[in-house]
Amino acid sequence: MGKGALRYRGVTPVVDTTEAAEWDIADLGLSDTALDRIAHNLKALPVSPADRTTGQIHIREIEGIDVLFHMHREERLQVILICGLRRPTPEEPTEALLNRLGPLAILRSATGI
Amino acid sequence: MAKPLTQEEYLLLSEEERMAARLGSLQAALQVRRDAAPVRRRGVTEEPSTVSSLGSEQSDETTVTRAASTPDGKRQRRRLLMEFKTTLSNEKALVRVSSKPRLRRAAIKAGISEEQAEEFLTELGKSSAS
Repeated sequence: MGKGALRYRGVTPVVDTTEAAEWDIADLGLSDTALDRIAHNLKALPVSPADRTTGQIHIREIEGIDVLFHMHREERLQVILICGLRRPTPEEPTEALLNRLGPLAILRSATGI
Repeated sequence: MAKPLTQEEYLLLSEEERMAARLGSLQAALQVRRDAAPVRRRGVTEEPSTVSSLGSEQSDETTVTRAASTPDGKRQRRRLLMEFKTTLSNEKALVRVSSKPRLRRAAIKAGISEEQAEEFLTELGKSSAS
């Protein structure tokens, strides 16, 4: 391999889920097809100006569901890690719930420390 | 140690508790990824196959010390220390609540010694207070 300025070319986005996200999926009764559409949406546009962001947690409403995700790099992959799904309610927006837990909880979860 | 949640228990939680559990699950997922990262990310020039060959925190420290004995290793070590300082500077809230074991784990992950980390925290504490 040549010694160009580029390290990796064509970093690919992939979508993973956490265990809690899987429980949310089961609770919401989301089909594999619906989940696949959500994953496609995230892969097609990992960062959207419409996303709400709290700390390092991004929230995007897809098909009427708030999808919470975190992004990080793993070698040649851009990992979009879905960490929760929730049906939003006007009385209790998802970001308000996150904010109530405090920035420290969000920071710790996002750094893994 | 707290017992891991089951799906049934999770579904019984309040909205706020569920959110905390989601963050906990994210933290665990990121931790697993970090632990599985190749050792070269901690500043070692040679590249052991996986972290499983390390086994323990003691092995981490040994690896870093060996790396630091070469000029390349010293540069790497300085870079790691700077990265660690930047991370902690950006996360003063975390620093304030960090317990010593947590600091030790963070220092080991960053590839620097616990003493250096403590020294830096003392400096940081002084600058925050002033």
